[in-house]
Amino acid sequence: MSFDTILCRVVLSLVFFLSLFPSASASEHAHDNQLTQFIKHAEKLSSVPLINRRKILAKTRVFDVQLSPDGQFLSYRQAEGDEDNNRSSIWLYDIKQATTKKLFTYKALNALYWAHNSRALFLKTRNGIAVSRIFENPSPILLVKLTHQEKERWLGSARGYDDSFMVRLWDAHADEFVITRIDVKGNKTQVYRTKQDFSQVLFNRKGEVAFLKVTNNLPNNKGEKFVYAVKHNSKQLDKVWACRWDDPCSLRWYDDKNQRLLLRTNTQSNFEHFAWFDLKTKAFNALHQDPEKFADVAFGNLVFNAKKSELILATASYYGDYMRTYGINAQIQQHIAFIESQLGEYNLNLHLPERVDTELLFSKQTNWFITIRKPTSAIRKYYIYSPATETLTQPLADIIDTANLAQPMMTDDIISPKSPIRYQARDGFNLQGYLTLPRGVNIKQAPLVVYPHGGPWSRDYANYNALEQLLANRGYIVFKPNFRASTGFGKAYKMGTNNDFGNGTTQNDIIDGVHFLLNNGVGDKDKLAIVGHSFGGFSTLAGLTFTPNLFKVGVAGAPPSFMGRSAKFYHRFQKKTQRESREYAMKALVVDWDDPKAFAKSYEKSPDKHIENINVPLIMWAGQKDRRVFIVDVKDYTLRADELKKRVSLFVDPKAFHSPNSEIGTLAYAYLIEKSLATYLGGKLMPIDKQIDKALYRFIDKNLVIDHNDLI
Amino acid sequence: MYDLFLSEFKRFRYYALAASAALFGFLIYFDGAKPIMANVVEHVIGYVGFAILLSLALSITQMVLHKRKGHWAFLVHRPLPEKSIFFAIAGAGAALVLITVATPVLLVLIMNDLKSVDLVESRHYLFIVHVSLVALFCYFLGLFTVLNPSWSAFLTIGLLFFVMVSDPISASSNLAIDAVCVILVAYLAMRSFKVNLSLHFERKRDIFLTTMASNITIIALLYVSQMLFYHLPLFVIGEHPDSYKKEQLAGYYAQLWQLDNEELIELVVDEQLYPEKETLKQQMELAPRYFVRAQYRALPERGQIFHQDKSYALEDRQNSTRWLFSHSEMMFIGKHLRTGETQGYIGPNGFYNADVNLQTITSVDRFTAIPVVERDHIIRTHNTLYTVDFEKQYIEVKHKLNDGEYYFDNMQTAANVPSVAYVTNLAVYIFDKADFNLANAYSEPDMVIEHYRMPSNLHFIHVYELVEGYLLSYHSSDYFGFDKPGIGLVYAKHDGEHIKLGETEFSRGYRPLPNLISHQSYWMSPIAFTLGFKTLESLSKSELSPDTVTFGQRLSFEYPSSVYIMALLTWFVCAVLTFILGKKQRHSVTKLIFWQGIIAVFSLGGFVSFLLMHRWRELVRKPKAENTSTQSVSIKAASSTS
Repeated sequence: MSFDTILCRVVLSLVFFLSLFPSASASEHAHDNQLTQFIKHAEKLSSVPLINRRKILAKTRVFDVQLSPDGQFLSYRQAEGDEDNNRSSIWLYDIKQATTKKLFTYKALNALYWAHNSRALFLKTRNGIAVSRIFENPSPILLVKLTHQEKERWLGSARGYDDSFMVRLWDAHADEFVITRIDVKGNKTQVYRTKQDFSQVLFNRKGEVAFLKVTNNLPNNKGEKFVYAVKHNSKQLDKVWACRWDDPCSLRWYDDKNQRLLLRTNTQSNFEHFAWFDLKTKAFNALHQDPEKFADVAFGNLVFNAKKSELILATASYYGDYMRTYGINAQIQQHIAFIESQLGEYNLNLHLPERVDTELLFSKQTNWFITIRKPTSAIRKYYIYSPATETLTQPLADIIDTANLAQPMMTDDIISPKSPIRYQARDGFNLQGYLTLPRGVNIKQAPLVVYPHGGPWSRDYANYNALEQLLANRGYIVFKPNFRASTGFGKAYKMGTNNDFGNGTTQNDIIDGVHFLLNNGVGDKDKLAIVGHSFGGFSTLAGLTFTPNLFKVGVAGAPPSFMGRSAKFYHRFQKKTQRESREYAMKALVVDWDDPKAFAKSYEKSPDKHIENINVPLIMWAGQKDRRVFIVDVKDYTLRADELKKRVSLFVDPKAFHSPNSEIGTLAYAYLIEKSLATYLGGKLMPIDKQIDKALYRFIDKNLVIDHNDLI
Repeated sequence: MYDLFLSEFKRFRYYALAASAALFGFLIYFDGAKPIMANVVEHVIGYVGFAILLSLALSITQMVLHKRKGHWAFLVHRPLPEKSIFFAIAGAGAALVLITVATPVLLVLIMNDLKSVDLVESRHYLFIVHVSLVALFCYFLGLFTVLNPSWSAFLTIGLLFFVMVSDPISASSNLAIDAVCVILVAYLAMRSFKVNLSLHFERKRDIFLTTMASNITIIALLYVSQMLFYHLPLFVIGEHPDSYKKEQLAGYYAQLWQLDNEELIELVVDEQLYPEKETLKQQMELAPRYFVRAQYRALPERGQIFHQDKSYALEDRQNSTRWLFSHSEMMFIGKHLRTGETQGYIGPNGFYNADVNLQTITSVDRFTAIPVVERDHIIRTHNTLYTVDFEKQYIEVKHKLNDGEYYFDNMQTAANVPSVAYVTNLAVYIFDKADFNLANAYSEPDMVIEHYRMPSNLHFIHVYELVEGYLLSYHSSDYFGFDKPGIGLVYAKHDGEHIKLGETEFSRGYRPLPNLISHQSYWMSPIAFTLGFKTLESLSKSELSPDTVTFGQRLSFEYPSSVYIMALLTWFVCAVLTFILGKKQRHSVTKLIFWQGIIAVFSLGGFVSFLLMHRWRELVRKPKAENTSTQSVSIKAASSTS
């Protein structure tokens, strides 16, 4: 661990400690001090030369590491051959023996799940679900085909049957869904049939369907999600609860014995948390909430207590500035504290073996699995923790290092530092974001790129991000605000927009963040850019439209230019493809498109209405096959801008959907951002050689359908 | 003779004009959508089909009218030699046919040439010659049929098989074949034109030519007749082998059609080669299957007539330009669709502006063989794929094979499959679809699966998609050699390992049909049809195709002993019957020997020809009376001419 990293941690820890004391001004000062310290830290770091964008954007060749339910094995995937090979293998690591075994090589795999008995892996392929019986014969066998057009899908590992999984199939003759259990040998058992479309299902301990969660699709619905109890051997559904439209209401477990449901919910709270819902009293009993009252629950470890015959929430993790993990009981918390003392207290993702009884959770045979995603490391680190001996090991370190030799990634010593920041919006609302600073430059004079995230019901995290590092390496400060509408910070944060997109609350939050940074010596006010994708692209358009003198250039990827229209058409698309209506939620969050006045008012505040305001270069990216933000809208906007003689460029990736889905597409996108910023903000650029990068050059050249910015 | 010619010509001129106008209308109508040079199959075949029908109709009508009672005598008793009468009538008919059939095509080609949007070269105009020859063939066939008392005459229509060959061959070969067929049929028609139309050919040359020309059809009809005496009756009583259950088909190739994936593995996979057979069976149960065409399609010949073209043009829709390959320049020439202006040229090494002098472009920068075009932007030669970008004006090698390897056919793809495939003589190349279509540069294949065996008669390679790789099935009726059906499985894993899983020979044969049914064409005519005709048929096929069989190879084919016995028996019986009937006909010794020679070469087909070219029924009943009546007809004819 480098000195810089230790120093950073000490500073951050100190700041965090100080922030615990309730004092608004103290808190503000703490954050300001933190920011100042961070700036100084970044300026003192050694600068690094221009790094090849392929290296920065490279992904680790070892990924998707999972702990087996019995805690004895790790599964992981490893890319094979060179980057054009498109092949990966699945490996098994025996924790006790410290040996690895390759199971098989595949070309395309969507997801990988452990069977409860830890003897098999279930594989989600493009054709259906396959099984790899890892100790008998790991060669995968396709057990069931899933037709996604018919909404057939994976439902998870089976409860009560440790060697089985559940799927939802469609019976076209009977016109109904069939919930089917399939074991590793391929034996199928029909568990339940229903015409009712559902989004979630819970099973009882016998493996029978006990509850269904159904979105209310009836006319005049309020977007509720109904939880129905299923009577055994009956088609009858009894409504037990109606969740509000803004409640995730995620069903996790049915406690047969105590007649209660474990949910992730924000009922009776601003924040999402785990709670028991008593089926008899209809009361909620929160299990644990964020002690800092800052973040929704992100993750929880549920372990089974055989004696009490109940599931216990062992840990809960909350992602505020970083991931924080808490043990629900003192014993677990003690171990967590130890782990944090060894590895640092942030961004630890702790996985307990889900099929190990709570009584054995601390035994010699049990292993805990920890993943760390630090902003200062391109590669996740994996640890095995033995609670009995309180030892930490990195079983895959050498494997990962060897695997990545073929495609070297960014090393910790050249990665630009990243830190959370806090600031206040103009109306006093407290906001959060992240700042990545280039190494060894005068931060006050450095160009600043605002990078709002997409969604907008999404958020940015403290993790390493390749595009941020690319920009930082080119000399840019990268500011990623978690503006109002972002998820993970509670209901008030998520709903705080009040439908005020465009020239409104959300955009103000972003701009307020920019001013906050400028006022605190971060960035040169004459070298500002705004870059974003999807909703971030919308923010880009809004930024150039409503604060036309603030930014020098904008890059907008797959941007809607009017949220109301995009929401309306996207909802229709969702209804058609997923057969689930989120109309109420979309109308509540964005605008009621059936209300002409509201729709018109919303349009008035949209960048689409005021395109003439743009007076700086705008670079747009669109996916030809985008089904969320339709390319006709993006093209229409671009052509209108072009007609108005705006310096606009449009790149259309012919194979992409909402985001680039090929390596060449990703590189092209990155290059366009780099080139635009270099041209108008003066940052560094790694040019493309027509011969060496022939394929990339031609790809960009061919698909740059409008270019008034000499991007290639 | 000229007067006769003229009167005959005038007799049908209006019908010919009407037909010509109709054909012209047909061509103009379809030319509006795509020019005739684009060789839209339905249009070209439709036109040739009309030409055939109209020519037949003309010749049959012409001669039937002349053959009416009284008319024939009037015709043949003109003060002209028979040949002259024939030439006059046939000449008039042929002229009408040529005018009717050739004029519309000529006009349309000239129109296209003048419009100058689409390239029209001399090879396009040669189509006029070809279709004219086809029409003439059918015209003389009609004459021959009506004039000759033997049904063999009409059966010479089988020669159309050679005339209508669609495999790419040179224009000169194509026209030579057409001309030979025309001359042959015209000669026979001329020889059939005589005073006494009831007389069969007597000259050996005529008999031999008729037998040779009609035997393709005779054997084909005899072969098809098994439908009547074998297949249909068995279907009716429910005993046909095609309705056999799986168990009954054991040992036959036909059982493959009933096996599911697991059974296929059980049958073919050798556990010694692949011990995980049971697992593979389970893996195959739900594995999706795709078909990859594995038949070789020859590339065009330089200067071939356009009706054998397999592709037409590269279309640059953005710039409204059509790029056509010029056989004379060996480059693509781009013409603007509206203005017809030349937009440029494309060679294997790049684009050239329209103002470039073509003469300055060396042979290095021209294609050395005629390529085909795929999907508007891919050019394929026998071992190289090029991708073309019209907007940016470059051509790039997309993929190249090693020496000795060549592509079989165009790219193969399916809607829901994320890969595309090319089959070569040595391997199957699988490319990632997105990468292949996206990158305008060289594409490395995702996987190369070498053929363990490339048998003849392999129509499709079945590809099963497994999580761990692809399982390929090669099966053919000639997998292990002629008449040795079999199947082979190869497992190409994503980790790079390619495993031959096993090969199985179907020792009982292709289908559970009696050998005499399966190999009927052989025992019916082992020399003329099986050796001769089949060898001629192979001549039009490329030597690069695994399906091409040389004469030497064909000689080495082994048949079941029962078939040889049947062939000998057939020959013997036919020879004996021919001899007996010939004796009853009071054939001369030389004629008897001659017919024995025919039987030796043509076997059953020759015997059928004998029956068709003799009034044997009357001979069998009243041989003497037939001879008297024949003579009396001759005397009558002779006396009428005098």
